[in-house]
Amino acid sequence: MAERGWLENWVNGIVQPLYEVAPWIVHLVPILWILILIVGSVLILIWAERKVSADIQSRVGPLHHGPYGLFQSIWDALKLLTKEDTIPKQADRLVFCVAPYIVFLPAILAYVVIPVGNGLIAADLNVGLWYLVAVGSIAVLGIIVAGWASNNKWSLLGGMRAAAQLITYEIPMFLSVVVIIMMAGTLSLDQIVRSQSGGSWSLAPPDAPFLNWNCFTLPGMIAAVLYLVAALAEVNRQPFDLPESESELVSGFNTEYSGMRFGIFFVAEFSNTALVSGIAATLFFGGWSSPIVSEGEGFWRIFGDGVLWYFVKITILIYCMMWVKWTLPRVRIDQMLQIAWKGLIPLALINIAIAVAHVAWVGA
Amino acid sequence: MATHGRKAPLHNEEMLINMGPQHPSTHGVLRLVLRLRGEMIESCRCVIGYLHRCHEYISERNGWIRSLPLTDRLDYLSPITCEWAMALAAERLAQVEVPERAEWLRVLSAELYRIASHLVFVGTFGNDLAAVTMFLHTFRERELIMDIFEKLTGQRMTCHYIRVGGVGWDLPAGLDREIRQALDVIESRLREYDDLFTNNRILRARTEGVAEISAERCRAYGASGPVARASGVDFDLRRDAPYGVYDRFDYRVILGNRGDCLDRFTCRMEEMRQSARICRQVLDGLPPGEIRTKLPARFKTPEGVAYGAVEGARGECGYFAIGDGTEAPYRLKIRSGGFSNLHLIEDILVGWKVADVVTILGSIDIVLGDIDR
Amino acid sequence: MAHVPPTRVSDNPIIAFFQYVWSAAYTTAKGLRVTGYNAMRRPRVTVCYPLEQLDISPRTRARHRLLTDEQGEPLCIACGQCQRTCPDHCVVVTRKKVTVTTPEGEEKQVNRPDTFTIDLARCMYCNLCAEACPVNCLHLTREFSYIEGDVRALTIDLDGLLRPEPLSEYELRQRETAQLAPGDGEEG
Repeated sequence: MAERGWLENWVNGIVQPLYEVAPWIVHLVPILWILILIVGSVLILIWAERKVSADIQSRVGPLHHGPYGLFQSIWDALKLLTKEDTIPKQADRLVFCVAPYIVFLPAILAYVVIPVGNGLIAADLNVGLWYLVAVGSIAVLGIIVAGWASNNKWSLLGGMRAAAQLITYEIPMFLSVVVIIMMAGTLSLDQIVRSQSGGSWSLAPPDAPFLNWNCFTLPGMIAAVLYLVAALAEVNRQPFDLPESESELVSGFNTEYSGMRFGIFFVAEFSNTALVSGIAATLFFGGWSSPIVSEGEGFWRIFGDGVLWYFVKITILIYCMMWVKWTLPRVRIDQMLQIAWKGLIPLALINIAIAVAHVAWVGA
Repeated sequence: MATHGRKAPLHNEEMLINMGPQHPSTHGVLRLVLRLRGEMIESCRCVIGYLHRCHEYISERNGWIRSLPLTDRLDYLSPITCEWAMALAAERLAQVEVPERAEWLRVLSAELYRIASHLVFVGTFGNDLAAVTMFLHTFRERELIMDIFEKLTGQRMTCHYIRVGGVGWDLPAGLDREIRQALDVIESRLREYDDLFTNNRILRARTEGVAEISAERCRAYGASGPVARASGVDFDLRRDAPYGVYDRFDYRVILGNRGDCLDRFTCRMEEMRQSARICRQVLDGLPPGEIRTKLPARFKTPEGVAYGAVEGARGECGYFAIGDGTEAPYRLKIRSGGFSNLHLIEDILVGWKVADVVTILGSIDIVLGDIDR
Repeated sequence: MAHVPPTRVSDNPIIAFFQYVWSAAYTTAKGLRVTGYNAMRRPRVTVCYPLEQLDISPRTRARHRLLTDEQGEPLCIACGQCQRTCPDHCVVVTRKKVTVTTPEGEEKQVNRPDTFTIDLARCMYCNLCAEACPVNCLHLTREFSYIEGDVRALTIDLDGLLRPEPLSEYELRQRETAQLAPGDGEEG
């Protein structure tokens, strides 16, 4: 830190005295960072979902609030906030109120271990991947609880479907992640990203900018596809949006929700979408590592490793998820279970065998 | 099996659930009372009548000419069907001669609206299966036909085009070219639908072998239209009881063989192509001449009985009328295809899952305005 | 026969498994191609309605209008045909006798409407009244947008029928943006 910019000085001028009074202030920084990340990405995602669907369906989409309707989601949030918040008479009040926050929780918790940029990670846990898998399944719990507490038959059916979905899709998801653990030899997400920027175990030359990503190995490629399919089910997006399934179960688990509680379900869906694509980017597509140059000179510096590439990658992944959503019809509950048990899990097990061979052959 | 009037004891494992009248996938105000065990359907009962508007009685009061525009409100997705059936009943009763050109224009409008109605079916079927893009794509193509009808009749849906003794308006200049272009676009988009939806693996899994209806059951319930034809019942009023000038066109009656949801879907997809063929033949050979027989100011039907039935987009639409020498029919009874088709569902739903309800109901393609009248 | 052949899979479960995987991937890719192609397709089909409007067909049947002669007098002879033929009973005409001077200079007693009201809220725009009119005076114009806060205001009287200009400020703004010609019904 030879020379400090004026901004840094200015920030220090405020933070330094605060830090002396309350040392715990440093812990607020990552929390703020995560909240800004989530809220910002959700607001953009809601807009993007509308624009993408409008594109595919030959429509125009939101147009009037801000450039290209970019502020539409803010107005939506304001509208939801001002709506009457109703709780059904027969509902289990406490559980009913808590459920949306349980769905929202994993997104906040999981961002803690995701490396957004080089060193930009709230806490680099050495069991980061275990932690991710563990907190990732909390969201479905919230959906089950919401379906049960609403005391509505449609909601109950939605909740039960969510339970089946949870049990089923956790397995292929984790089995595909296991492959990455085997190849990277670590559970820390930061280490996994670093191993992809010039690792020693891959076929590619170590200085190639992107050929070292996990998705360019055979087991990694299969695992990426399996993970993304399972992730669609994990975040209840089409073709696996069975707990919600608007045309069958009215609105599924959130039938009885209104106002901002409904809004939080909405926010949670999108933040979970951002989360799973963030995990996919980290595990399979090299996280924040750049596909062009790792350490650029001059102008190329901004295209080097860093936050930019993380966001570019999750943008592409989320676009693909939306593209799939607006293309495919929904599967039936038994077919959804069949796809997992008869399709994804056998493929994932075969993939683990391939990964063993890969590690034994290349990683030696 | 369905439990008509039989009180079944309610076990605690069973769930009695009301699907509709407010439900996104019941295509209007249909109510299905389902008994579920888990997600499996044990029995189903249809409750209809939420959209009953006394059309038959109003017609008996208002008279032929003045109740013809009301028929547009019955089957609002293919209004030409009901208009034609009512006009046909009146013409058969009073023995009104319809000019040649009017007959051809009737065929043209009916086939165009058959395409529009089937497009709505394809779209709503996609919407029921959560392929929302299909819904908006088909409505985009339907808009071409709506535009044609706006130019032809002045209204898009409640067109009031077919009148007793002819049609309301002649083709405006340049519209035939526009219709040809629209048909070309629609046919090319139908191939797109095949790629996007018909051949999709998930759609196949959702529809293949689901709710197969046998030809015997179709006949027993009096089902008609694409629902019956998908089950292999070779029955099409256009060919079997020709009305208008349908005997002069070259087209194929589309039949399915298994009678499952996929057959009902693909039958309609193919019927659209056949309808486009008929439309092109009409445009090629449209004869010149009058479009409307001059009727007396107070059009009266003699005493007698007449039945006018046309092949609508959802089956046989028939108007049975008894004339008594006045301006109005003494008694009018409407037979709508959707009514007979809908009641198949009480039988065929049993044993399928909640998610299949919307597939099966969507594949039958009901319009509650037509059923409740 | 139905157009699309049924899905066929092998009897061997292993082969059938990979056939299913392949067909799922292949048909999904085909669907993605269609939606991707549609995402590129320009222009969009929808228009931003209040700001831009599509052309309206000249045959569009909307708000009614009575044609007038050069002096601004309605051509209507108050025969009541429209009232008799209306299925919704929304037309009410009463008659009065007026004396007019013909171009030849002689005075003549003719029937003219004293009151002429049409309840637009009940009307279903079937065009039967316009077709019944023996002097081709009553027309349905292209003016389709008339928004009122009170349903009673939708009952238009003789003044409203003779003066088809938009009544509310909202409609004036609409017409400016739409560049819509004043409603002219179809002849005949």
